[in-house]
Amino acid sequence: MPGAGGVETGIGLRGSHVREVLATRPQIPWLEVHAENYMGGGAAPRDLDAVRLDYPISIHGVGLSLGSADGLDARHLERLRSLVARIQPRLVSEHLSWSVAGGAYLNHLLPLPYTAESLAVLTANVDRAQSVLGRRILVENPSLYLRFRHSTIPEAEFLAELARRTGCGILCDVNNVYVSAHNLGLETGLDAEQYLAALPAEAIGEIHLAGHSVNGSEEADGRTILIDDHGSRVTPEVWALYRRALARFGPVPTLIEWDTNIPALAVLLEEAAAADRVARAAVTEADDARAA
Amino acid sequence: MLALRELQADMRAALLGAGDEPASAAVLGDGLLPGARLAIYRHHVLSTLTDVLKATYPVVCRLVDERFFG
Repeated sequence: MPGAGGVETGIGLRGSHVREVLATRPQIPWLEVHAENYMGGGAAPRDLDAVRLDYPISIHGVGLSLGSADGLDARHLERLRSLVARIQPRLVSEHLSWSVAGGAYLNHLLPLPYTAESLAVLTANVDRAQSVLGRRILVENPSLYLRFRHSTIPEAEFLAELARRTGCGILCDVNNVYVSAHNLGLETGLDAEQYLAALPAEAIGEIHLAGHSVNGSEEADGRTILIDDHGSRVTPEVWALYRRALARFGPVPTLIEWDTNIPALAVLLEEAAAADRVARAAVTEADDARAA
Repeated sequence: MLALRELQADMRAALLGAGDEPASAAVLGDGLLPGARLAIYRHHVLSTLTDVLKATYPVVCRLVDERFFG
């Protein structure tokens, strides 16, 4: 099914929905899975083999730790290579973050200082990943709750330079742009729209959309922190930013992510339909602008 | 400038409860205490590990009470 205005909106396939997807075959142009959920044995890999017969799949890694100063874990990279070889996904993506240090795996996408040293580490690790996988990967901007004192490079520029050096693409998570701008923007003047403007449009290979929550324990000065928990519907502010993103990047495959408090499959399909409506409006707007 | 490997070792110590210093010295507070920003990450790491234990050992969790998995 062609998507709205050339934008194809997929959903993240979660374990609790796999049976229903196989039984009901909902009309959705593609599905994304977390790589690490399909690296073990059991029923999950067999289910994915069945799903991929009917849907294009995107593989989204969360455990490769592209930002590790120690380099990539060869065994993990081999597991990813093997999965990618079997599933033949449409896209493969990972994150601008780290989660492994000194042999310990920390179950989170942890922030990096944006420095020349970090850029060299990322470049080497992305080069290695792409060489072992034999294909281009997309690297996703993280949601941030802190920044490091010694960071010197704005994140969008860091990603642009990484893409230039390695040939990787960029996965622009619009919710993450919004969350990071809220959490860090007050002092840095980081603005979500400026961030989108600083990304190289030609490198954007995918967009992510998700919900976030507002941290209830406000600090004394009334400051709130947005938590990127992927546990609710996309907010109006993020829909508005998505529209800006499409205007800038053109029709890019878009994904609805939902990872905590996972609702019925129908809710994810509704969110995908909502994204299609935004995409249609964005394309009409762009056409009108050209005609004017 | 703190080398990346050193920073990641400091962050690892902070997130696994072995002390926020010196990781917090590398973090800008931006209106909060650096430790409060690190705590957001630590909370996520520890709560997801706890969730895994709960899902893996549901009977133990019932026997000893949820409080010991919190």
